[in-house]
Amino acid sequence: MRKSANIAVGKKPSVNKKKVIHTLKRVLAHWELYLLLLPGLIYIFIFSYVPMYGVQIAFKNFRPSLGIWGSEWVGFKHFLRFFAFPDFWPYIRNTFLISFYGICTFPCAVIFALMLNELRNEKFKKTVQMITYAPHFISTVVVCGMVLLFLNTSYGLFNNVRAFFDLEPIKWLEEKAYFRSMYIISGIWSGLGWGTIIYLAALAGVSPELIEAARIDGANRFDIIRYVNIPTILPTIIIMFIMNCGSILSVGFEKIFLLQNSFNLSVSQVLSTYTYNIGLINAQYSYSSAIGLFNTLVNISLLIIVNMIVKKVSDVSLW
Amino acid sequence: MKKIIALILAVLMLATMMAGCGGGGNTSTTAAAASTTKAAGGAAATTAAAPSGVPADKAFGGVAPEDQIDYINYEGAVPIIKEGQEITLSFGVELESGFPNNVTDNWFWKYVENELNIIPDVAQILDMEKMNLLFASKQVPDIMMHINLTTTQVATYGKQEGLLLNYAPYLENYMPSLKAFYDANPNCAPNYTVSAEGDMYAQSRVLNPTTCVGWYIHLGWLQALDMELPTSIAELTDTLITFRDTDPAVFGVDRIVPINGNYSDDWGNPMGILAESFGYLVRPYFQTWDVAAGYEACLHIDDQGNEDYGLPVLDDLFYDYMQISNDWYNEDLYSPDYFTGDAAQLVAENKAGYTGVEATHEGMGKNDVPDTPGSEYKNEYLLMPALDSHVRTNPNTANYPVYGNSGYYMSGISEHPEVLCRFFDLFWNPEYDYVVKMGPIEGVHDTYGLKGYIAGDNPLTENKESYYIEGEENANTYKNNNYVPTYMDQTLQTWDFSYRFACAVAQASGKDPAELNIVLGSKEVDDARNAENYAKDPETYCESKYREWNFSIRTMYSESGMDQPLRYVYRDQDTSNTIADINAVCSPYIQEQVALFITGRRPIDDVAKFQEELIAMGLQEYDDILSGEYEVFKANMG
Repeated sequence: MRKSANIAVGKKPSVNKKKVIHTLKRVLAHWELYLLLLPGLIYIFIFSYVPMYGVQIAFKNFRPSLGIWGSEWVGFKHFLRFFAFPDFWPYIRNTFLISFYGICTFPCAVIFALMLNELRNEKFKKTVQMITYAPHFISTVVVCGMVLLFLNTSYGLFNNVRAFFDLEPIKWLEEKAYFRSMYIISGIWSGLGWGTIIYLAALAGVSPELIEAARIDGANRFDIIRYVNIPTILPTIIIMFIMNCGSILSVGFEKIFLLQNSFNLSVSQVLSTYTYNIGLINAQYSYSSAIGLFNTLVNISLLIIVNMIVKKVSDVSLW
Repeated sequence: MKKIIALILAVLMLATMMAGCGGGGNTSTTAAAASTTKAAGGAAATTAAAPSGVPADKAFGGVAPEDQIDYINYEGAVPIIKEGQEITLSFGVELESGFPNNVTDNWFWKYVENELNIIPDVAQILDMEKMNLLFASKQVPDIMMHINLTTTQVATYGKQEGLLLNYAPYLENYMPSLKAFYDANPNCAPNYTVSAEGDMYAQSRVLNPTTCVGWYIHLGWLQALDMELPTSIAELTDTLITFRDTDPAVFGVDRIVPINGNYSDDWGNPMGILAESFGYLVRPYFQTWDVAAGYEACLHIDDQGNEDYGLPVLDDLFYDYMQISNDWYNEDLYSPDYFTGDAAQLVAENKAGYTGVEATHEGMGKNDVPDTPGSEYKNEYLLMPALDSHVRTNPNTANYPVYGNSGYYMSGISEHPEVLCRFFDLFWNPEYDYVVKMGPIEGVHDTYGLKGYIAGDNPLTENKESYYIEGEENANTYKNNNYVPTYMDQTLQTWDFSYRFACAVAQASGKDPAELNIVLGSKEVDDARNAENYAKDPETYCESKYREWNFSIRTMYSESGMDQPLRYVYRDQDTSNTIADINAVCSPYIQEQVALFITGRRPIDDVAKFQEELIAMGLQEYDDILSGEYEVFKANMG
């Protein structure tokens, strides 16, 4: 066996060096996998990490003629301006409420996955899956167009049905109370099927022997779901929940923007629409970057907090 | 084998990623023009003085030989670049959203390349977001057309950042036609100058004379009900109620919408008719919600002639304004989808003939102008004059402005500012402006093998200004744009322009269209407006002359017409930021609360409280800024 030079002179190789060599050997042994991983890593590095240097414009008075590096440093001026903005809390409230409402519908995908998993007719199961996945591929613009069309006071499907039964039309779009529900329900419709994929994949990992053993012990279908299926996919549920919490202040812009009208502005004005108006339309890039950075920091903090809580409560956590 | 597959997959992924990294799709927006020259010797373009040039007294713009740039032609306006040479310029053209065809499928770009020796690198810019990003990243196109920058943006990007070309130093030598226009029309100066030093970034333009926007009422319905044209808000209300109560079958339609429109749409908000009747000089076009909600700054003139400039939403009259709006809503005079419908629905309802009163010109019914000149006109809709109200009699109407901002800008960081100036000067040159704005004349100019759009069965109601679409299969599919020239039959274009406007003037003033020929002298002009005459004597019948004639027509639109003050206001960055912050808070609140007042969801008696809320939000500061600007304006006007 070849001995290292250190051994020849009576020195043992350091532990760290051993670890490095060991790691390198493992990498080389699976070089194909790492090579497959490489493009993704490069992509993330170029498009996610390299542009991070631009976040400094949140602390500067960005001027195109001076560029990012040449613009004047103003510190926390933009953040203070945002905190002093009269509608700061209403925007935060609206964003949080819509997000929270969305998180509350989190169990829908889990329940639907559990229900799908119980289907015995494979053909029917696949048909249902295909039908429920399909809305995911419809663009947000089209979904919003459909929502506005169906809820139209004069020509909408729902009011036409009401008219058929001699009922008065409801002005769904003019009541701000319906806005959040409209937003969330359309989101459930378009995202439910797709959201079940990860849970169905997790359910596929449930041991058949465990289910068999449970049946032998007298468990019915609901007992199996409760005591076998759910615990099996619980780590997946927790991970997904933590990640959802990490985007609590990140309500998507497109759908909100398209569903806004004069009646629901007080509940539909969120951080993303404000950032769009102030950043892209009014070209206040530094200010909007500060808002975006604030948004991100809040999300990260929440992610860390929720992860800590979940880690204490269970063995599952993101890290 | 697996290793080989893995290797291939990894390389493919890497290659795909790298391919996606490069280039920006089909838009090309370089910061400076990539200039290539094809001089006889293949030498690159330089700005060195030519050893011998055109003598100054014969050179275009009177440029002295030692100052002439070697690749620019000084022997005439066209070509701009000397024969045998070419440069590439990037163009950023903003088009109407939803434009279905490629912007480059247009005769104009072929004209630019073949006649001007400029290779156009055209990028379609759909909205201000893209434009802002281009400015922020200093990837400004050399030439920008139909880019609607605000005055603040012009001041910021032009004066502060140097991204827009200040063409004042180039006026004398490289834009003599534009200079002549400005000298002849000093009133258009506020539309292009931006500072006391006389910096010029925007170019003025004469607005489309055929845009007869206002509030139209269904003449056919009035005639069917034997009713007169309303002259006051009270009479209009009675008329609308009568429309509402009439059986749709009487009008031959499925339903009736007494007053149609869309609260948020650019063209379709009809509420300005109320504001105008109260004495507010609201603009007759782009009737967005802020006009309806009293959130657009405007001048108010009472019966005694007292003037007040500011935001109507803070005035005492706002209570009456909301009261009438609410009354109309309670009487079911509005479309049920007034607040939530879209432009497509509005247009469809108009086309179906459901609408009694509407504010627009594009979304009008089938026949808004007579079929042929001098025939008995059978308009379905009639343009209403300003209406009296309980607070104002014979109110002033805002003139459709003669001058506007052209939306033409030049890059301040281009390598060829002289070429950019020469390019835009063509739009003001009497010899070339008609061709570059309207397209080739059939039988006179080279169409480069392209086929143009020829008007259909009813040329008076078909879209006249069309992008030229190559190929017969694409004929009649186009979108409107005033700024990039089109190809179509010349006589039809010009005749249509003059006649449509003349008819609208007739309607507004109650005159018989047949009399207009005498009043406007348009018959002679129209007779002359055929290709043959134009070809023989373009100087007499060119666009500039046409514009001059239209100036006189404009003042006839209404005897009580007034120009809106302060259409263009340049503010410093701090003031703009202050206003932007106030807007961000107040604008959505006003938009929402006015909708609640109109629908009665918030009681009208709360208007005073609402105004106090707005003042608490800082709106008074904005109002004070506006009043102050108007005082300065009045003082400057003398």
